[in-house]
Amino acid sequence: MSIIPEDTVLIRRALKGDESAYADLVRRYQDRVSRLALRITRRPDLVPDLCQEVFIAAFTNLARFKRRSGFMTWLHRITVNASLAALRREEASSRMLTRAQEAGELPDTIIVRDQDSGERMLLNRELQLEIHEALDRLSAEDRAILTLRYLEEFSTPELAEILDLPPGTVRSKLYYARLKLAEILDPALARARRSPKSKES
Amino acid sequence: MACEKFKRMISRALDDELSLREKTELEEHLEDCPDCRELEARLKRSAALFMATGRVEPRGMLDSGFAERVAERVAERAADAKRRRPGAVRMALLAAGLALLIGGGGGYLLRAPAPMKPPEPKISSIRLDSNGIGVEIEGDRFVLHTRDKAGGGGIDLKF
Repeated sequence: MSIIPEDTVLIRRALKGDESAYADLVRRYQDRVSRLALRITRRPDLVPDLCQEVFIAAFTNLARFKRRSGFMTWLHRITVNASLAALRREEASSRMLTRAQEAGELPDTIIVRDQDSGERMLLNRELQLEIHEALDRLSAEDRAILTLRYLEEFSTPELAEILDLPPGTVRSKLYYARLKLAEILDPALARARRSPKSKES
Repeated sequence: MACEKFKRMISRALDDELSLREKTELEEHLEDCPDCRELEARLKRSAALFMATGRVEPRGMLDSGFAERVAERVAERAADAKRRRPGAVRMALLAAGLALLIGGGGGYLLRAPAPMKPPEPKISSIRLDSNGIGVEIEGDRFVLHTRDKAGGGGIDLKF
Protein backbone atom coordinates (compact mmCIF):
# COMPACT_ATOMS: atom_id res chain seq x y z
CA MET A 1 0.00 0.00 0.00
CA SER A 2 1.89 3.08 -1.21
CA ILE A 3 1.50 6.55 0.19
CA ILE A 4 -1.35 8.65 -1.17
CA PRO A 5 -0.12 11.98 -2.68
CA GLU A 6 -2.63 14.01 -0.63
CA ASP A 7 -1.21 12.44 2.53
CA THR A 8 2.31 13.50 1.54
CA VAL A 9 1.17 17.10 1.18
CA LEU A 10 -0.69 17.07 4.50
CA ILE A 11 2.24 15.43 6.29
CA ARG A 12 4.66 18.01 4.90
CA ARG A 13 2.40 20.87 5.98
CA ALA A 14 1.83 19.31 9.41
CA LEU A 15 5.58 18.97 9.93
CA LYS A 16 5.92 22.69 9.23
CA GLY A 17 3.49 23.38 12.06
CA ASP A 18 0.25 23.68 10.11
CA GLU A 19 -2.31 22.62 12.71
CA SER A 20 -5.21 22.44 10.23
CA ALA A 21 -3.23 20.05 7.98
CA TYR A 22 -2.85 17.59 10.81
CA ALA A 23 -6.53 17.97 11.69
CA ASP A 24 -7.31 17.07 8.05
CA LEU A 25 -5.08 14.02 8.28
CA VAL A 26 -6.81 12.93 11.50
CA ARG A 27 -10.27 13.42 9.95
CA ARG A 28 -9.20 11.33 6.97
CA TYR A 29 -8.27 8.34 9.06
CA GLN A 30 -10.12 8.61 12.36
CA ASP A 31 -12.94 6.25 11.32
CA ARG A 32 -10.58 3.49 10.20
CA VAL A 33 -8.40 3.88 13.30
CA SER A 34 -11.38 3.83 15.68
CA ARG A 35 -12.92 0.85 13.88
CA LEU A 36 -9.69 -1.14 14.07
CA ALA A 37 -9.21 -0.21 17.74
CA LEU A 38 -12.76 -1.36 18.51
CA ARG A 39 -12.41 -4.60 16.60
CA ILE A 40 -9.21 -5.50 18.40
CA THR A 41 -10.12 -4.35 21.90
CA ARG A 42 -13.91 -4.94 21.70
CA ARG A 43 -14.04 -2.18 24.31
CA PRO A 44 -15.97 0.89 23.09
CA ASP A 45 -15.11 2.69 26.33
CA LEU A 46 -11.39 2.55 25.46
CA VAL A 47 -11.68 3.72 21.86
CA PRO A 48 -11.73 7.57 22.15
CA ASP A 49 -8.64 7.76 24.38
CA LEU A 50 -6.94 5.11 22.33
CA CYS A 51 -7.53 7.04 19.11
CA GLN A 52 -6.17 10.21 20.68
CA GLU A 53 -3.11 8.29 21.83
CA VAL A 54 -2.61 6.87 18.32
CA PHE A 55 -2.78 10.23 16.55
CA ILE A 56 -0.53 11.96 19.08
CA ALA A 57 2.02 9.13 18.79
CA ALA A 58 1.77 9.36 15.00
CA PHE A 59 2.47 13.10 15.07
CA THR A 60 5.35 12.71 17.52
CA ASN A 61 6.97 10.23 15.12
CA LEU A 62 5.82 11.88 11.89
CA ALA A 63 9.31 13.12 11.00
CA ARG A 64 10.55 9.52 11.23
CA PHE A 65 7.75 8.14 9.04
CA LYS A 66 9.44 6.27 6.18
CA ARG A 67 7.39 6.78 3.08
CA ARG A 68 8.01 3.28 1.80
CA SER A 69 4.54 2.29 2.95
CA GLY A 70 1.24 4.09 3.13
CA PHE A 71 0.38 6.38 6.01
CA MET A 72 -2.61 4.15 6.71
CA THR A 73 -0.43 1.04 7.00
CA TRP A 74 1.79 2.92 9.42
CA LEU A 75 -1.24 4.10 11.42
CA HIS A 76 -2.51 0.52 11.58
CA ARG A 77 0.78 -0.51 13.10
CA ILE A 78 0.54 2.18 15.79
CA THR A 79 -3.13 1.31 16.41
CA VAL A 80 -2.45 -2.41 16.80
CA ASN A 81 0.36 -1.75 19.27
CA ALA A 82 -1.65 0.83 21.22
CA SER A 83 -4.71 -1.45 21.33
CA LEU A 84 -2.74 -4.43 22.62
CA ALA A 85 -1.02 -2.21 25.20
CA ALA A 86 -4.38 -0.78 26.31
CA LEU A 87 -5.80 -4.28 26.73
CA ARG A 88 -2.81 -5.31 28.80
CA ARG A 89 -3.43 -2.28 31.04
CA GLU A 90 -7.12 -3.06 31.30
CA GLU A 91 -6.79 -6.83 31.54
CA ALA A 92 -8.71 -7.12 34.77
CA SER A 93 -11.62 -4.98 33.62
CA SER A 94 -15.00 -6.41 32.81
CA ARG A 95 -16.09 -6.84 29.20
CA MET A 96 -19.76 -6.34 30.09
CA LEU A 97 -19.82 -2.90 28.53
CA THR A 98 -18.94 -4.38 25.16
CA ARG A 99 -21.64 -6.98 25.42
CA ALA A 100 -24.27 -4.50 26.54
CA GLN A 101 -23.48 -2.22 23.64
CA GLU A 102 -23.35 -5.07 21.14
CA ALA A 103 -26.67 -6.48 22.36
CA GLY A 104 -28.30 -3.16 21.57
CA GLU A 105 -26.82 -2.96 18.10
CA LEU A 106 -27.06 -6.51 16.79
CA PRO A 107 -29.20 -7.11 13.74
CA ASP A 108 -32.12 -9.53 14.19
CA THR A 109 -30.61 -12.10 11.85
CA ILE A 110 -27.41 -12.54 9.90
CA ILE A 111 -27.24 -15.01 7.05
CA VAL A 112 -23.83 -16.55 6.46
CA ARG A 113 -23.36 -18.55 3.29
CA ASP A 114 -20.66 -21.19 2.87
CA GLN A 115 -19.44 -20.42 -0.63
CA ASP A 116 -18.20 -23.95 -1.32
CA SER A 117 -21.22 -25.99 -0.27
CA GLY A 118 -23.86 -23.30 -0.69
CA GLU A 119 -24.98 -24.07 2.85
CA ARG A 120 -26.51 -21.17 4.75
CA MET A 121 -26.19 -20.44 8.46
CA LEU A 122 -28.80 -18.25 10.09
CA LEU A 123 -27.58 -16.37 13.12
CA ASN A 124 -30.29 -15.00 15.37
CA ARG A 125 -29.41 -12.43 18.04
CA GLU A 126 -28.88 -15.09 20.69
CA LEU A 127 -26.43 -16.93 18.49
CA GLN A 128 -24.70 -13.70 17.54
CA LEU A 129 -24.22 -12.90 21.22
CA GLU A 130 -22.82 -16.37 21.77
CA ILE A 131 -20.35 -15.76 18.96
CA HIS A 132 -19.36 -12.38 20.41
CA GLU A 133 -18.75 -14.02 23.77
CA ALA A 134 -16.61 -16.63 22.08
CA LEU A 135 -14.63 -13.93 20.26
CA ASP A 136 -14.00 -12.27 23.63
CA ARG A 137 -12.17 -15.45 24.60
CA LEU A 138 -9.70 -15.12 21.74
CA SER A 139 -6.38 -13.64 22.78
CA ALA A 140 -5.95 -10.00 21.76
CA GLU A 141 -3.02 -10.96 19.52
CA ASP A 142 -5.09 -13.60 17.69
CA ARG A 143 -8.00 -11.17 17.36
CA ALA A 144 -5.66 -8.49 15.99
CA ILE A 145 -4.17 -10.67 13.25
CA LEU A 146 -7.57 -12.14 12.27
CA THR A 147 -9.10 -8.66 12.20
CA LEU A 148 -6.32 -7.33 10.00
CA ARG A 149 -6.64 -10.31 7.65
CA TYR A 150 -10.38 -10.87 7.45
CA LEU A 151 -11.93 -7.49 8.21
CA GLU A 152 -9.26 -5.02 7.07
CA GLU A 153 -8.24 -7.39 4.25
CA PHE A 154 -4.49 -6.90 4.43
CA SER A 155 -2.23 -9.32 2.54
CA THR A 156 0.55 -11.30 4.22
CA PRO A 157 3.32 -8.84 3.16
CA GLU A 158 1.23 -5.94 4.48
CA LEU A 159 0.58 -7.79 7.74
CA ALA A 160 4.31 -8.41 8.05
CA GLU A 161 4.89 -4.69 7.78
CA ILE A 162 2.14 -3.72 10.22
CA LEU A 163 3.11 -6.33 12.80
CA ASP A 164 6.84 -5.92 12.19
CA LEU A 165 7.27 -9.66 11.67
CA PRO A 166 8.78 -11.80 8.89
CA PRO A 167 6.13 -13.07 6.42
CA GLY A 168 6.79 -16.68 7.50
CA THR A 169 5.98 -15.79 11.11
CA VAL A 170 2.81 -14.03 9.99
CA ARG A 171 1.68 -17.19 8.14
CA SER A 172 2.39 -19.29 11.19
CA LYS A 173 0.53 -16.91 13.51
CA LEU A 174 -2.42 -16.82 11.10
CA TYR A 175 -2.51 -20.61 11.05
CA TYR A 176 -2.63 -20.93 14.85
CA ALA A 177 -5.12 -18.05 15.19
CA ARG A 178 -7.40 -19.80 12.67
CA LEU A 179 -7.20 -23.08 14.56
CA LYS A 180 -8.08 -21.25 17.79
CA LEU A 181 -10.94 -19.39 16.13
CA ALA A 182 -12.42 -22.63 14.78
CA GLU A 183 -12.05 -24.27 18.18
CA ILE A 184 -13.87 -21.53 20.11
CA LEU A 185 -16.57 -21.14 17.46
CA ASP A 186 -17.29 -24.87 17.10
CA PRO A 187 -20.28 -24.89 19.51
CA ALA A 188 -21.84 -21.83 17.86
CA LEU A 189 -21.15 -23.31 14.42
CA ALA A 190 -22.87 -26.54 15.37
CA ARG A 191 -25.93 -24.64 16.61
CA ALA A 192 -26.00 -22.42 13.53
CA ARG A 193 -25.92 -25.47 11.26
CA ARG A 194 -28.70 -27.16 13.24
CA SER A 195 -30.91 -24.15 12.63
CA PRO A 196 -34.09 -25.41 10.86
CA LYS A 197 -33.70 -23.00 7.96
CA SER A 198 -29.99 -23.47 7.49
CA LYS A 199 -30.35 -25.70 4.44
CA GLU A 200 -32.69 -23.43 2.55
CA SER A 201 -31.34 -22.21 -0.74
CA MET B 1 3.48 -35.31 10.06
CA ALA B 2 2.27 -35.18 6.46
CA CYS B 3 -1.08 -33.82 7.64
CA GLU B 4 0.63 -31.00 9.60
CA LYS B 5 2.18 -29.80 6.34
CA PHE B 6 -1.20 -29.91 4.57
CA LYS B 7 -3.01 -28.19 7.46
CA ARG B 8 -0.64 -25.26 7.10
CA MET B 9 -1.21 -25.33 3.35
CA ILE B 10 -4.97 -25.10 3.97
CA SER B 11 -4.36 -21.91 5.93
CA ARG B 12 -2.22 -20.50 3.11
CA ALA B 13 -4.86 -21.58 0.58
CA LEU B 14 -7.39 -19.42 2.44
CA ASP B 15 -5.07 -16.47 1.76
CA ASP B 16 -4.78 -17.55 -1.88
CA GLU B 17 -1.04 -17.97 -1.51
CA LEU B 18 -0.49 -21.42 -3.00
CA SER B 19 1.27 -22.02 -6.27
CA LEU B 20 -0.52 -24.12 -8.89
CA ARG B 21 1.58 -27.13 -7.98
CA GLU B 22 0.85 -26.74 -4.27
CA LYS B 23 -2.87 -26.38 -5.00
CA THR B 24 -2.87 -29.65 -6.93
CA GLU B 25 -0.88 -31.36 -4.18
CA LEU B 26 -3.33 -30.14 -1.52
CA GLU B 27 -6.39 -31.16 -3.56
CA GLU B 28 -4.99 -34.66 -4.00
CA HIS B 29 -4.35 -34.92 -0.27
CA LEU B 30 -7.83 -33.63 0.63
CA GLU B 31 -9.41 -36.30 -1.55
CA ASP B 32 -7.80 -38.99 0.58
CA CYS B 33 -7.85 -37.34 4.02
CA PRO B 34 -11.21 -36.79 5.78
CA ASP B 35 -9.51 -35.10 8.78
CA CYS B 36 -7.94 -32.40 6.64
CA ARG B 37 -11.20 -31.99 4.68
CA GLU B 38 -13.01 -31.46 7.96
CA LEU B 39 -10.40 -28.94 9.11
CA GLU B 40 -10.68 -27.02 5.85
CA ALA B 41 -14.46 -26.81 6.26
CA ARG B 42 -14.18 -25.68 9.92
CA LEU B 43 -11.63 -22.98 9.08
CA LYS B 44 -13.81 -21.68 6.27
CA ARG B 45 -17.00 -21.64 8.35
CA SER B 46 -15.36 -20.00 11.36
CA ALA B 47 -13.80 -17.36 9.09
CA ALA B 48 -17.23 -16.68 7.60
CA LEU B 49 -18.73 -16.26 11.10
CA PHE B 50 -15.86 -13.99 12.16
CA MET B 51 -16.36 -11.78 9.12
CA ALA B 52 -20.13 -11.70 9.48
CA THR B 53 -20.18 -10.79 13.16
CA GLY B 54 -16.88 -8.91 13.47
CA ARG B 55 -17.91 -5.92 11.41
CA VAL B 56 -18.83 -3.81 14.41
CA GLU B 57 -18.88 -0.12 13.63
CA PRO B 58 -17.78 2.52 16.14
CA ARG B 59 -20.76 4.76 15.58
CA GLY B 60 -20.57 8.06 17.42
CA MET B 61 -17.50 7.15 19.42
CA LEU B 62 -15.47 10.09 18.20
CA ASP B 63 -17.31 13.40 18.29
CA SER B 64 -17.14 15.97 15.52
CA GLY B 65 -14.42 18.02 17.25
CA PHE B 66 -12.05 15.08 17.72
CA ALA B 67 -9.64 15.97 14.90
CA GLU B 68 -9.36 19.62 15.98
CA ARG B 69 -8.73 18.62 19.61
CA VAL B 70 -5.96 16.21 18.60
CA ALA B 71 -4.39 18.85 16.33
CA GLU B 72 -4.46 21.38 19.19
CA ARG B 73 -2.86 18.88 21.56
CA VAL B 74 -0.04 18.06 19.17
CA ALA B 75 0.52 21.78 18.45
CA GLU B 76 0.81 22.44 22.20
CA ARG B 77 3.25 19.56 22.57
CA ALA B 78 5.33 20.76 19.62
CA ALA B 79 5.47 24.28 21.11
CA ASP B 80 6.52 22.89 24.51
CA ALA B 81 9.24 20.79 22.91
CA LYS B 82 10.51 23.81 20.99
CA ARG B 83 10.67 25.92 24.15
CA ARG B 84 12.71 23.25 25.93
CA ARG B 85 15.08 22.66 23.01
CA PRO B 86 18.35 24.70 23.02
CA GLY B 87 19.06 26.86 19.97
CA ALA B 88 20.23 25.06 16.89
CA VAL B 89 23.46 27.08 16.65
CA ARG B 90 24.36 26.26 20.21
CA MET B 91 23.66 22.60 19.59
CA ALA B 92 25.85 22.61 16.48
CA LEU B 93 28.70 24.24 18.40
CA LEU B 94 28.32 21.76 21.21
CA ALA B 95 28.28 18.82 18.81
CA ALA B 96 31.39 20.10 17.02
CA GLY B 97 33.12 20.64 20.34
CA LEU B 98 32.26 17.19 21.57
CA ALA B 99 33.52 15.69 18.30
CA LEU B 100 36.79 17.57 18.79
CA LEU B 101 36.98 16.38 22.37
CA ILE B 102 36.39 12.74 21.49
CA GLY B 103 38.55 12.76 18.35
CA GLY B 104 41.42 14.77 19.89
CA GLY B 105 42.14 15.33 23.54
CA GLY B 106 39.35 12.99 24.61
CA GLY B 107 41.49 10.09 23.48
CA TYR B 108 43.81 11.00 26.30
CA LEU B 109 41.09 10.29 28.82
CA LEU B 110 40.32 6.95 27.19
CA ARG B 111 43.94 5.85 26.91
CA ALA B 112 45.41 7.11 30.16
CA PRO B 113 45.43 4.83 33.17
CA ALA B 114 43.76 6.41 36.17
CA PRO B 115 46.66 8.16 37.91
CA MET B 116 46.67 8.65 41.64
CA LYS B 117 47.56 12.27 41.01
CA PRO B 118 46.76 13.64 37.59
CA PRO B 119 49.48 15.49 35.75
CA GLU B 120 48.99 19.20 35.51
CA PRO B 121 49.76 20.32 31.97
CA LYS B 122 50.84 23.92 31.65
CA ILE B 123 48.60 25.71 29.23
CA SER B 124 48.65 29.42 29.49
CA SER B 125 46.35 30.35 26.65
CA ILE B 126 43.53 28.66 24.77
CA ARG B 127 43.49 28.81 21.01
CA LEU B 128 40.02 28.74 19.57
CA ASP B 129 39.71 27.39 16.06
CA SER B 130 37.88 29.10 13.21
CA ASN B 131 34.57 27.81 14.57
CA GLY B 132 35.25 29.46 17.91
CA ILE B 133 35.94 26.17 19.72
CA GLY B 134 38.87 25.28 21.93
CA VAL B 135 39.75 22.69 24.54
CA GLU B 136 41.70 23.28 27.74
CA ILE B 137 42.95 20.68 30.20
CA GLU B 138 42.49 21.97 33.70
CA GLY B 139 43.78 19.51 36.28
CA ASP B 140 41.83 16.30 35.75
CA ARG B 141 39.10 17.99 33.76
CA PHE B 142 38.58 19.09 30.22
CA VAL B 143 37.13 22.50 29.56
CA LEU B 144 35.38 23.11 26.28
CA HIS B 145 35.28 26.78 25.28
CA THR B 146 33.00 28.13 22.58
CA ARG B 147 32.71 31.74 21.42
CA ASP B 148 30.96 33.26 18.51
CA LYS B 149 33.17 34.64 15.76
CA ALA B 150 33.05 38.15 17.14
CA GLY B 151 34.54 36.87 20.37
CA GLY B 152 31.32 37.50 22.23
CA GLY B 153 28.89 35.12 23.89
CA GLY B 154 29.57 31.42 24.17
CA ILE B 155 29.64 28.59 26.65
CA ASP B 156 32.29 26.90 28.75
CA LEU B 157 31.69 23.29 29.67
CA LYS B 158 33.78 21.35 32.17
CA PHE B 159 34.04 17.55 31.97
